[in-house]
Order: sequence, then structure tokens, then C-alpha cells
Amino acid sequence: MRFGWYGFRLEHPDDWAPATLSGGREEGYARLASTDTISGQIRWKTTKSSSDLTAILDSYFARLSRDAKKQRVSLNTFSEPSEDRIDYRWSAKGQGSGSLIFSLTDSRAFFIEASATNNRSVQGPHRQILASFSAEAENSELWAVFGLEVKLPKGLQVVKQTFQSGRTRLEFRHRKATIVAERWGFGEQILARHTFQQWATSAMDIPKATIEETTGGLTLTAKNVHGIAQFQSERNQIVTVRVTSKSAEWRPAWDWLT
Amino acid sequence: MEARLGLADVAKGFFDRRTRIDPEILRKAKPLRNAFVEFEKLEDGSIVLSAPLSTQGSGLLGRFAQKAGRPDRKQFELEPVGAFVWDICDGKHTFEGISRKLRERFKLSKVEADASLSAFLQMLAQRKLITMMVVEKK
Repeated sequence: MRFGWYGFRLEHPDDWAPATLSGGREEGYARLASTDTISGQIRWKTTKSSSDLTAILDSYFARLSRDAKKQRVSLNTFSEPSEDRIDYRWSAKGQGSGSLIFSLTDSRAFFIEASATNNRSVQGPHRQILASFSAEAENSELWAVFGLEVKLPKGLQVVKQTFQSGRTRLEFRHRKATIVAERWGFGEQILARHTFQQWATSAMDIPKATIEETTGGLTLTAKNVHGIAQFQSERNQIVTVRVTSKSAEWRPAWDWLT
Repeated sequence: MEARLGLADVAKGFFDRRTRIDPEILRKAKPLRNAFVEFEKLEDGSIVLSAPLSTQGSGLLGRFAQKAGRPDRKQFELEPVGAFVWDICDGKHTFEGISRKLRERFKLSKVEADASLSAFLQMLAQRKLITMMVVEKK
């Protein structure tokens, strides 16, 4: 499955799901947990150059060492710097295998790590997420979480996130706009009970919208509020994007829905 | 060795009668429709279940209903997705198997199907409409 958050993206195994998402663009943390003992972790931090990587890794190991001391176990670490990244491993009560990389496109350092709370091998999962990892260089960013996949203009800040079974909702803020992207599972079953137009005006909360049906889906227009809604049959889901803005530059576009 | 329970655990156990199942055991558990539950399929794919009130809660409502000469059954309506799951709660399919069928039929991700199914089966079990047949670890 694809995971995209604050300008980076990666592929993770199907039985992993975001368990912790914290921080913002400058610095943050995402933990993707599986149903067993293995999880993937991404930490990111804005930094000046790739020469800071060694200091960042040392500070991470120091923190792991403090945690290990509290648990009365010893911490073993290993690191291997290469041209563009530092690969590392650690073991204490659990173990981890990761890479610390510097993204030139947005001057951020990323820890891409797979860890386990027991002795299970984590090098395979680490290789898998590392191979698929990339930081965006384009003007738009992929936000992909729990089946919701939208490509939105760069520079948005997540202000609210709702993850329910069958429904994923992300609310973003920008200086000039508020954007809500939503994914509803069981699309076919929803549309068996309601017309798409009735459902969209209600679900997107644009009751006085003028609705237009296009090949992509529905466009909804009201004063300072614009929305698009698309039924994606191959994934049995409905994806909607609602933009509230006075600026004419901020209108939802079909290529926002990947 | 006897397990010690704090006051909070005792209170929680008293109010919360749900059985906590190990996820590994849950994956192999086989839900089975209870024999006293009658059900009828509707045209739109939904199902109406009817269970004796005596099986709900402490059974007090059932006794009151009988004495008052009121209907002594409670009805539950399952929408088509719930009805799909109900159909395969036959004691032969495991949780894992039902989840796989849900994923195939409704194009859900594994995490989404597992979470929805777990919550749905828990709701059915709490209302004593199904029994989760589990193989205990030795």
C-alpha cells in the first residue's frame, strides 16, 4: 500500500497501517504498525546539509541508549556511512534496521527504519520501505493514507485527521484556503441507496451547491466553496475534495484525485 | 499462581462482560449463527434478524413481555454488507476467511476489512446473535 505524508511517499506491506502521525512539515514522525511485532518508522527533520547526518544519528543513538538503560538492557549499534546516506542497525530489547538520508529537494533528513519488539528480522521490511521511499520535487504532494490518495498543491498543513473504518478524512489549512479530502469505502453500496448528487451534497456539506455532472464525476459550486466527487469503481470508493476559499486560484482540479 | 486484580480491573470486569480475545485466536475463530435467531432476506439484500427477548441482556425484558402479552422477540436489520457477513457465519469459515471474502467482494484493504469485521462480529456476539467458536491455545 502507498503512504504519502508531508512531501514523502513509500510503499508498505498491506497489513501495516499508520498508528502514529505527529509533527508537521519541518519535523515529524510517522509509525506504521503491523498486526505483529514489526513496525515501520519515518522521522524527518529540516537540516542545513547532508554533513549534519552523523550528528543527527548520534543524537538518535543517545536517545535509544537512554531508553535501553531505563529497561536495564545494553544497546548495540552499528552504522555504515555511504555517499548519500548512513545505514544503521541497533539492538536492545528489540531491534531496528534503518537508513538516514538527506533529501536535497527540501533539505530534510529522513530516518527510514523498520523495527521489531522481539528478535524477528527487520532487514527485509527495511529494504522494502527504503527502496520505495522518495521525497517529492514537484509542485504538488501526494497524501496517501488508509486508501485515500490525493495530490494537492505543495505547502499544506494538516489540521485535522479522522480515520474510521470505511472513512478517511484529512483537513488541510493554507493561508488562502481550507481543503478537506475524504475517502468513503463501500462506494457501490452507498450509491445503491442514494443518488450520487444527493449523497455528495450531504456528505460534503454543500447543501446549496450547483451541481454539474462531468466524465470525472460531480463538481459542486457554492459561494466560496467548491467541491469535486468521484466514484472510483476499481477500488469501490468515493473520493471527495472540498475547498473553501475566496481566491479564484484555489479551485479543486480532477488531477488532484490520483 | 493466582492473578491479582486491582480495584479498577475488578470494576471494569464487572461492567465490561466482553471477552477479550487474543488477535491470533480471533483470526482462527469461526463465528456461528445462534440457532434461536430467525432471519429473513429482503429484496434489497438486507436481512432482518429476530431473536427471543429472553436471550437479550439479563432476559428480564423477555419475562416482562411474556407477562404483559407483548411480542417477545427483538428485531435487528442488517444492511447488505452486514447481511453478506451474516450469510457466511456458518461455523465453517474462520475470521480470516470471512475477512478475505469481504476484501474480495467489497474491494477493501486488509486493515479496513479486519477492523470492520472485528467490530461487527463483536456487536453480533454481544447481542448473542452469534457464537465465536475459538480454539484455545494449549
